[in-house]
Amino acid sequence: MRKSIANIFVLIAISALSCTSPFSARESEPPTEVLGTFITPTEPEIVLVNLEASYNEQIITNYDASLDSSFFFRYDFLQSGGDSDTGWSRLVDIGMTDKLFSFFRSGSGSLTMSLTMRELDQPDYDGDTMATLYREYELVTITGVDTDEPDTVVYKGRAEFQIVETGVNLWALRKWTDRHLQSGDQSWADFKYGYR
Amino acid sequence: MLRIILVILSLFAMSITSVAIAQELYFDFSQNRETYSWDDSLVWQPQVGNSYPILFSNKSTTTLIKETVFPDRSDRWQESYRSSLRWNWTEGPKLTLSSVIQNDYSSFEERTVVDNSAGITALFRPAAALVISNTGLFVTTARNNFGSKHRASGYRNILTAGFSRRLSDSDNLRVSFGQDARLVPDIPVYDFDASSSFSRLTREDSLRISATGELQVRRYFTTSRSFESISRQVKTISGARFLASFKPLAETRIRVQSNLDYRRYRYEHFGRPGASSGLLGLDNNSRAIDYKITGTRNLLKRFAFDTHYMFRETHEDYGAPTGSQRVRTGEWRAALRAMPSMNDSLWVEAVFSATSYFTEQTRSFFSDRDRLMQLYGCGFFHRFNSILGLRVDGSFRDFHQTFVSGKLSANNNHNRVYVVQPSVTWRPYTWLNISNSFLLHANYIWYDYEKKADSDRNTLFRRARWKSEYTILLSRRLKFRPMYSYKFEDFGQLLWRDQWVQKTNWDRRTHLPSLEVTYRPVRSWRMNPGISYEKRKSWEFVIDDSGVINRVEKETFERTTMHLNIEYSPGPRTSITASAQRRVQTSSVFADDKTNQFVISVHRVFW
Repeated sequence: MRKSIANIFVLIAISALSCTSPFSARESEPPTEVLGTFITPTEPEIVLVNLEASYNEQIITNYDASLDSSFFFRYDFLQSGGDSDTGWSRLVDIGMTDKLFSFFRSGSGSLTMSLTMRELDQPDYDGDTMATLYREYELVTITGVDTDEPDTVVYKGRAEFQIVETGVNLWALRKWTDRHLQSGDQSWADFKYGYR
Repeated sequence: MLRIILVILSLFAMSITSVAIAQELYFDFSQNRETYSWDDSLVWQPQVGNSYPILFSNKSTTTLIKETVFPDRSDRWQESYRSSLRWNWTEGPKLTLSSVIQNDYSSFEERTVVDNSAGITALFRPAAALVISNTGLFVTTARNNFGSKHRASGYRNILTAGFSRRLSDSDNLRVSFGQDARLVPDIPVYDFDASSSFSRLTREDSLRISATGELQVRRYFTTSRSFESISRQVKTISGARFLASFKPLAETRIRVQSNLDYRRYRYEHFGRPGASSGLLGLDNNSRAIDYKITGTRNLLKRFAFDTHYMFRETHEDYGAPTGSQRVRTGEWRAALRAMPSMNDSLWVEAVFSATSYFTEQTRSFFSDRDRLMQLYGCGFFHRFNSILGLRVDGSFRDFHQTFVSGKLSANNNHNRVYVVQPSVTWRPYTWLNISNSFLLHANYIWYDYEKKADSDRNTLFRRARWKSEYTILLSRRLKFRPMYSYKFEDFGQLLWRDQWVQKTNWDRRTHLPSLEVTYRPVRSWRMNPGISYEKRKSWEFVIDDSGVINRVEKETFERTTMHLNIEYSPGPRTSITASAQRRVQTSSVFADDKTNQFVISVHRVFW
């Protein structure tokens, strides 16, 4: 009995540390700016349209909605002497993407980022519940636009997107494999890793 | 070279032994479109006299991506392997002395990293509860990164100590310490870690408390754009875990678990400036706390109720507003499972969760946002008799994403999903199993500030699927599995007219029959051929000049897939599998495609 009382005391002590209501959200301000792009992903190709739009518009919720719950990002190597890993999980990817979106949005015009993707000679594979899409991409970031020496960095590579049909979220990105075009290039993985 | 020497040594050692244990060989080759992969591994531990003093292991991976994928039209090879040989030359109850040789190699086009090490390990057991191990290694390392070369040699010392003691019938204590110092010019690494844990396990209650800590100081090469430099990282990680489980009342169990984590990274960059990009290489620290309280109660042996509340809070601090963030999550779940009779079971569940993101300067980054989730699920299973069963599952989910700032709040939206999944299984004969499953799925997405406007972003997607499966056992060796699946989908704009109505934009229908055969002509052979044919037709709804809506065919897609898997297992320790697949697809809109895929793998365990 004394043990149970002690345990209940521990329980109360831990829960008294902090808690948050799971039922309510904060009030939001009425919109003052234009809308972002998110198309209901009823086909695998639309997932990439949303992914590209979320990068160009830097809206993390639209990026988040494009990833499957078992999402994993893989890369061939990192230029900036990274860990010995070969990829990272959904939680890590969302965390670093959130940071980089905030980073580029915070510049108030002094930083820009644009992303374009194009199809390769290698045809996509569209299955009944799984699709693999191959794209060559170019991601350009410009920092210090307002200064005398703007710095432009081009990230280039080839990405393989494995997209799956999920029961509740329609099509979503399950596995993203990123490869450098030339081994001296900076790739998307190098860009993301800068915000890890 | 060292790899060859290791292999020769192993082969020599193999030749002088006759019996071995724990030996294993894997070989895998696969080809998928333009990518070829080879994976192999070998573990070999022969018996010499009454002991097993030699342990050789090798693991290698090679990938080739063919020229057509890359714009410069060159083949791309990537390979890595690790080989190691350990030889115990003194083995006693208190002391074991061994020699260790290890070789690591990785290459990717013009980047190569090679590490060699050789040395002596001493394993010391002064008391039953205490184990101390020390390894001293001579190390050489070579690195080539686009012509930027680094060669160095040095010393590495790895010390570990572990103490484990049973304090009483229920109480256990574990303490461990580790130190790894790699003294190599330019890129030394020092690593210290310690951990301790206490656990108490009794029939009714359990308690576990543990703490860990790590300090690592390392220098490493950083390549950024066109130059290379050296950075120093000081990493401090500590954490504490708590878990208690107890029964305050009969048939009621409470479980409390909590974790505390702290990480701190400090950097110093040498050489040219700009070695870091983004937030990488900026000093930062993060801390997190979470706890989960779970309660379960069984009633009358037919009902089980469980509920939990979970809270998690994390802080990330980069010393600058960008990247610094706080996240709080709260989740409550309640579920009830019931078994009113031997042939019936049902369940209901509700989950509510909220995650809030707070940035340091809300108005600068506009990223303050909340994500609310509600989930309600229920289902039942009824067994009519020993051959017929019915299961129905249903769920409703609502995700509500809200940005606080007006800069992004136009994107606040609801994403609601309704799912109903009935399925029937029927086994009229011992040789026939029939399964029919259905899916009804509706996904509503609407934006908070556009609910009453005719917005293109408010959409409804609906899907219905029927899948019928037959498993026919013609004999012990032969099984047929025909299947048929039909899917209907439509998509359109969602309009609010005192209730939601859909304006259909397109619909599509998919037929997918398939047949799979499993045949075992003899015990060691298994063959599994299969074929499937998929036909998908899509239509779109277009308004003509007179304002009439017409349903127009958009695409016809057909795909035939054939596969053959063959497995040969002459015994429980050996298996060889090969599989091939050919896929041919045609489309009235997109280019036709033919693809072949091939995989072979060999697995052998030696005793």
